[in-house]
Amino acid sequence: MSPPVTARRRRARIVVLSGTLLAGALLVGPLVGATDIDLGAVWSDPFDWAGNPAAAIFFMARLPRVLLAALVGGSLALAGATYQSLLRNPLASPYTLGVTAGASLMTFLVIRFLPGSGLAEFTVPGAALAGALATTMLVMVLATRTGGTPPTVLLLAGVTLNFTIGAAVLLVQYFADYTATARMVRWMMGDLEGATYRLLAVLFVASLPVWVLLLRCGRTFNLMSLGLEEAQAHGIDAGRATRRGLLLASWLTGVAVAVAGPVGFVGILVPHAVRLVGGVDYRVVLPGALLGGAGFLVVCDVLARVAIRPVELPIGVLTACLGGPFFLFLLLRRGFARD
Amino acid sequence: MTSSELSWRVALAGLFALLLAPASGLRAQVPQRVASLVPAATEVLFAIGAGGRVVGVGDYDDYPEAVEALPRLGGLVDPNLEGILAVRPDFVVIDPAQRSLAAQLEGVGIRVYPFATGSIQEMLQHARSLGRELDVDAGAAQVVSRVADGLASVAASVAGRPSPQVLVVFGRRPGSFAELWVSGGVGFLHDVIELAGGRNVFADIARPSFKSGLEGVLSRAPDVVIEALVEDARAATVRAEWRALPGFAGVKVVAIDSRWALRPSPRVVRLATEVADALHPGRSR
Repeated sequence: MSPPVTARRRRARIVVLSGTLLAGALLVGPLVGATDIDLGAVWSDPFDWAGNPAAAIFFMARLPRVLLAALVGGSLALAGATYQSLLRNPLASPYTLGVTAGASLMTFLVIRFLPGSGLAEFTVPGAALAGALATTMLVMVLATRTGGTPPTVLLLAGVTLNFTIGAAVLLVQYFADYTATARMVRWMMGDLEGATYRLLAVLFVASLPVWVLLLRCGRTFNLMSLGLEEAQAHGIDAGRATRRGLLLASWLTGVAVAVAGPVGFVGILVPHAVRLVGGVDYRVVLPGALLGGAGFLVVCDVLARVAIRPVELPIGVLTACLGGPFFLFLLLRRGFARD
Repeated sequence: MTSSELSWRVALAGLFALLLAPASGLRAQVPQRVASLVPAATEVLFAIGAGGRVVGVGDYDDYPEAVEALPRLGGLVDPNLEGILAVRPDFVVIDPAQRSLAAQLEGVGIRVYPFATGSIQEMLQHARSLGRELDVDAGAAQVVSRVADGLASVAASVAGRPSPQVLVVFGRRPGSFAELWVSGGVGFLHDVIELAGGRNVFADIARPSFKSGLEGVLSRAPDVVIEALVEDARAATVRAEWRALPGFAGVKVVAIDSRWALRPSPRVVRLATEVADALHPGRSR
């Protein structure tokens, strides 16, 4: 039996490839930025931030941000791959089921009604996470009420919620004043700033178990993507697996959006890029998406910081500008080659 | 003089009369009912002595006090056309970005004056031309010289003193250093800082405002941070936040009121005075 061997080898190849991208990005990311700092000076006295500006820049302005980009990028790409599998729709993204709309609504309400509140580090993330999870639950309830959890019903429920909550979002935005509106618009573009080690620790603890759980779903997702009957025939409770997978992916999305806003494109582009390179086996796609998404977002953030430094570009704009052409390149080369 | 020569002269004179008539007619029609949708322009109108003719103002106008009693006609992105027409203005001051509003007003024969908010010089230029349009040239000239003299005396009072490095912050995410919008080396606030004897740390960036990362701010190591705030109540918190940044323990933090200080108006003299007081506490008056 040769297939398991090639599957394993393909997984190894993808993991090495995307892992190399991530490792390279993590290494280069903190070395460059808005200014040129003397790296020797950073290490001469790394903990005296007040007296050593190079260390402050390296450990306070750069490193947490690079780590945040990796956490957010990995989570969004892994969640995207999960949605695409369970909804059996290649265009599904972490935002298809209205998760972002829910997060946006809660965030905007906080920005509108609690400006400058005391616990600012956690108020917006907390509200966004609550909005994201509430929306996911709502989609599930709606879909279960209308008979099981078939992908089409889930998709329609999600799209409808997206529009409905989106209208409420616009209404809140419309009645906000100038500065609040500007903050809302910027939040929608995604933003990897404001990372602290405390926030990173919370984020890591909230994401790691979910990564592990999702990475173990490769075989299930493979069978599910063949169709519900096929999966059921192999002893998989399709409804339960769908609900579980969507909840886990929505949790990851909610956590990522909560701290970074709806960074676009990572969740849809990275899983497809992995598929184009490494095939459709979810045991390959899921780890590839996690590592590749992390590396990709770190690279995008580096460019956002240095392209026209010290002026910064919005990260969501860069992911699309960079990712779009790269993805088209892959699509045209690999896609045509395969047909 | 031959008759053909005479008829030529008559014809020329007639032509001149035709050309001059509408012009003199316009000159006679000095606007009597003025609406202003730009808060800075409203301040200029009142300062030059045309305040009595202002019949409506924008949603964000709050100065001088007389505007409180006037009808509100909308804001930059949502001007209220019906409201504007209802106050029957013959002259409307708008933002240059309000192009469709300009077309609509001109379509019904109302004169439109685009007021671009920018540098101090641009504001003074507007004061002069509004003075001309509204036939209050003397008032305008007075405002221009008062502002110019006021600024000149502020500049003189700090001349020769060492210039502190100043970071100007328009806004950031509350409680964090994310979404940090700062002043570059052009624009109203940059002008005020340099005039009041400071050096803008981002003077080399040719933008009125831009988003800087925390790194950009840390690396420029300012002596003074000037942050625009809506609520005075937050000034103490904001000061503590900045001083907690590594290397910023000795930084002087000055809060300015974003409700008026970001607005290029004749009150710029008061702003320049406040900033100069903060940057140079011992300056000669």
